[in-house]
Order: sequence, then C-alpha cells, then structure tokens
Amino acid sequence: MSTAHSAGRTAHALARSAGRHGAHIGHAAGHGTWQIAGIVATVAVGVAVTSGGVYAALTADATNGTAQQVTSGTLLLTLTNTGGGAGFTSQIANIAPGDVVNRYVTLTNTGTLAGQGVALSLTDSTPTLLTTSTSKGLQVAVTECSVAWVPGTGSCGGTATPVLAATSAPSLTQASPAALSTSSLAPLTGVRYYQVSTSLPSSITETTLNGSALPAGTTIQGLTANLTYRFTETQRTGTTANS
Amino acid sequence: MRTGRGCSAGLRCAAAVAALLLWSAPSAQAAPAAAAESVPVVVTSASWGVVMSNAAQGPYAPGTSAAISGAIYADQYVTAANTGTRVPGTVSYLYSGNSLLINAFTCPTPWDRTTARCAGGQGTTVALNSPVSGADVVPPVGGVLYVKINFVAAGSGTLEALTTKPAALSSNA
Repeated sequence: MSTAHSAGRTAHALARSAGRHGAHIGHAAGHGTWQIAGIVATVAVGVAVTSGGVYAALTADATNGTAQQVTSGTLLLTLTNTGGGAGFTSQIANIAPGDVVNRYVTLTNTGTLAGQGVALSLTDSTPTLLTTSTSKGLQVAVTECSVAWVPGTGSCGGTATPVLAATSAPSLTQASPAALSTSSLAPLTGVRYYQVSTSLPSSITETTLNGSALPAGTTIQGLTANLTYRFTETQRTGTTANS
Repeated sequence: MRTGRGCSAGLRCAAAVAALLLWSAPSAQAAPAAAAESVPVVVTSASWGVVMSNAAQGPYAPGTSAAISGAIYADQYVTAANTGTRVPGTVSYLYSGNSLLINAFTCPTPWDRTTARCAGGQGTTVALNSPVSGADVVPPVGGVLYVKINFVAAGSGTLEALTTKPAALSSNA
C-alpha cells in the first residue's frame, strides 16, 4: 500500500516537473514531454498496482467437505447420601476419644471423561485442636464397598476395602489431599460407595479433676469444628487416538 | 523496527516474556480436576467431669470439692454432680484427710437423713480412691448422685472426683 502511494507521488512529481520544463521550451516540445511524462506516470502506476503480486506464489486449498465436530469432555463429581442415610447432613455430637462415627456417601462421576486419583481433603472453618492437632485431633478413614452400604447397620453386602487408613485432620488439607486407593472412575456411571469414619484417637488419656478440664488449647473437650469433606478427582491420562 | 529497538535497549521485553511464562506455566501443567464437597458438618467433642459439692442442689461449679468432717460413726451428706456431656468411663472419689477410716455410699435420690437410708435400701457402697464405674456410682449426664459419708473413725478432709474419658462408641448414620 505504501509502495503504491509512493509510486503515485513519484508519477505526479514527474508530471509536474515535465510541465514546468515544457513551459520553458515551448509548446511543440512540451507536447512530446507530456507524452513521455504520461508514459512514465502510467508505468509508475502500473508498477504500483502490480507490485503487491509480484512475489505471490500460486496456492491451492483442500478442505473437508463436512465440518468436523470436536467436543471437549466433562469431568464432574457428585456427592450424595447412600441408601437413605443421613450422610454428611448428620452432625457429629459429643465425640469422645475412641469414638467412631460412620457416614455413608456415594461419589459419582457424572462427567463424560473418566476420572482418576480420587482424593479427600478436609477444611474446618473454626479450627481448634480437633483439626490442628495430629495427636489429639480428629481422624478420618474411608472404606469402600463394592455395593451400596446399609447406613443403619453399617454393613456391606459386597466386598469392603479400606481405601484410606485413619489419617489425622491436619494431614488432609486441600493443598495436599489424601489419595484414596481407588481405581479410576468410569465416565457417567462411575460410582463409589464410601464409609467415611470420623474418630478421635483412643490414645487420648485426658482426665478431669472436679469437673475442670485441662486449660483451653490443651484439652480436647468441649470443642467445635465445622468440617467440609471434599472429594476430588483428576482427568484420566490423555490419550492418542488413530482412526 | 520499533520492537527490535525496544528489546535491545532495555529489559522490558525480557521481563514481559518472563511474566508471561510465569503466568502460563501452572495452568499448562495442571490437569483438569473435579470436586464434590459436603455441606459443613458440625462436630462437637464431649466433655466429662464430676463435681463434689456440699450443696444439695445446683448449680455445681467446676473446680470445687466437698469438705467433710465428722465424729466417730457420724454421717455426712454430699453430692456428686456430672457436669460433662457424657458419662465418664470411671470416677475416682478421692478422699484426703486425717480420718483413718470412712465409708461412702451413693443413692440416686436424696438420703433420708432421719434414718440415714436410701429410698428402698442401703445405697451402693463406693470404694474410695480407686476408679469405679457403673450407673450406681457414676452420676448420669446432667444428674447427680447423693453420697453419704460414714466416719468409722473421726476426722476431716476433702472429697474430690477424678474422671476418665467416656467409654468409646461407634455409630452409623
């Protein structure tokens, strides 16, 4: 574009120069000069117009007749209560050392991609020793059943497999969730039946004299946690397909 | 031309490239992930404790103990109150004083001080200074046991209660 513009200006300058020169040499001579100037101008304009295509090579295109549709997969997890149980909607009250409170939940991969690396983390919006102490704090264990658990009795009609040994709450952060030894979750139909066992270590040997517990910050008694259990999975390993 | 002059003149281009790499690196390595969270679950821990008191009625303040004294064969009545949220596993009724021998008995209802009898019986004998367990000798949650101290030998002292953690439970829901 700039080249054409420059060429145009050159032709115009030549024409003006020729015009001025012709004024000096007379009308006859000026007629020939105008012809030359016209030719030069024409050539310059032609060069300007065609210079853009001088270096262009021949090209050819081939496209698929029908647009190829590409859809990306989805990775979705849902958490529901198992078998009419209360699941995580049921609070845990008055837990004492050695107590084990079982909740039954179903984890389903509702996405179109297979998932893998199921992991569990725990967050407490009101941290206390319950979730900050590795020796006195809550512990969480997970056992998987091949079929749905029976929440009321805690029985598994299939095969029960521990997928997470009792792990202290401080070790279940979102930054480093605990991996469940669970195989991949199939897309759309991948279901895992989990018994989530929350407990306080039986090793706690706290005694109370005359109704007075240990000082705050050292006693495990009378504390409250607000726990959120978070299950995560990652996308299956990427694949290469040929067809 | 402008770009070349800028990059050669200063470090701005290098900084911009580095910033771009830093910004894009984590997202390039992270695999897509999905998560499912529970609703917040409130978890409360239990408390366990027994208070000995000279008062027949509450409230019973934690940290108190019962002062006892009596002549030979005299009776004194105190109260053991559960101030916790669970029944302790064991309670040790601790006597410290100068009496050579005292006996203790519990009753779920106030003693008849005229007859020194528990309603319907003699009450339950409690061993002092050693852990005991069971509904007869450990007060229920929010409740009390009435204790009679019988001085076989005259003396005085204090009566305290040392409790251990509740018996473990397992629940499913």
